[in-house]
Amino acid sequence: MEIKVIIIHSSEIIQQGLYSIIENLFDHESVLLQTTAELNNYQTISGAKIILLVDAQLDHEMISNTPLSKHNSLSIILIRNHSEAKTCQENCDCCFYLSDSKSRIYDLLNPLLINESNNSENSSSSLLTDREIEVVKLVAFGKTNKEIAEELFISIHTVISHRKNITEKLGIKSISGLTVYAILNNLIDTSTLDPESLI
Amino acid sequence: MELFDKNTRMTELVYANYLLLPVLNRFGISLGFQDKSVFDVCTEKKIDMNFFLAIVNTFHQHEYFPEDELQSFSSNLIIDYLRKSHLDFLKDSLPNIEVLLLKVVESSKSNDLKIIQTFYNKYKEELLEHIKDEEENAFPYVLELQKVYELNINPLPKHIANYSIQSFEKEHTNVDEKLFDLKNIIIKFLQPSYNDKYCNEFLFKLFQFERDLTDHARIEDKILVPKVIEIEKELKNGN
Repeated sequence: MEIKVIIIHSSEIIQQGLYSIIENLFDHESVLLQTTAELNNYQTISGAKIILLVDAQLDHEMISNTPLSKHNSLSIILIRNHSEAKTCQENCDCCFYLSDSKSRIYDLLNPLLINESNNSENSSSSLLTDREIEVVKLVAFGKTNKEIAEELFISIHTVISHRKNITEKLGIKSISGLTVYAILNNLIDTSTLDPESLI
Repeated sequence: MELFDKNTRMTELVYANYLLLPVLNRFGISLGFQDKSVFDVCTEKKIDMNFFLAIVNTFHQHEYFPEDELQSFSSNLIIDYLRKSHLDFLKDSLPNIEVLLLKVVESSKSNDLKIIQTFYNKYKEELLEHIKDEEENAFPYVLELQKVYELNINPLPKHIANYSIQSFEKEHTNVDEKLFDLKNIIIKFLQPSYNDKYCNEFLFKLFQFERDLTDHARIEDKILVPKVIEIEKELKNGN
């Protein structure tokens, strides 16, 4: 999942300061906004993990209701002034103070940014099961899901689920792409037929 | 990241993102900027500055996409830009990609590269068909619809009344998928029996093209189509 850090604060000094701290610590470029209304210009983001750092003085009700939360996983962290009363526990995960140290920001953001790379590692195995290889072969020959189901004596639903797993494992989405994969890996015998006619 | 504005120097814009170079050309802008700002160049070339800024900002910053503002631009302006991009793809990007791919193919003795080439040709065929369909059907329809809307022509001409943009503009997903697969197959699964340097050049170009194409598709799917749907709704309700 892609990660976006968005900083919303009216003070340019604070914006730029946080921006460079985050860039320094995580080598991550943040988006800088002055008002919560500017979030409307970013509504097309979807499927991302968004970390919003927001001035606690701003209307953060509106932020938690942003349509962005429908299509993304949203974490909101409030930026508090020194003068604000301490309402949270020490080292909570929902806010920090302008007087806090850089290491506090590191501790706060690190779990949010780290958790991401673990996830992507889990899905990186590209080994297909024997059954999935059978399905790839049949797809390469241009068979429909229904035909594949009949040939392998499984339900269409199962075929669809195999195909979804195959696409996730290989990172190949199109039918001709899968055909190319099958030919390159010698899953189908191309000595008797013209590969061009299959792709 | 900060947005470009009317005071941004043209040189800054290029230094910030050199992939914008072909985008500038589409607006009829060439290099040799001296100290000119976006405002200076747009005034000089009679370019709609707000539209120019919207296009370069959304291209440069993928997260930035002010839909309401973008949909406020006229269909003519949007289509003009899309047509220039098409021309770029046909006359520049695709021929370049093909020359580079051919070099990779010729540097290898393996038949696998031929398979890749076949896959590329299949992709290109689909892309060309898609572009042709837009140029010949979708764009003329939109321009005509815009005219009917502006001149308040009533009743609607038949060829307008009987169609909707959704019947023309098919989703881009199929075409995009193949380009994505092409890259992925080469990077992940193809045995490297070719000249590495040639393959890098080919992939650089492919990545750049993919980026350009994604931006292009986004303008069509997220700006032009919703805008036209709004006009269609209004026209149908008015009649």
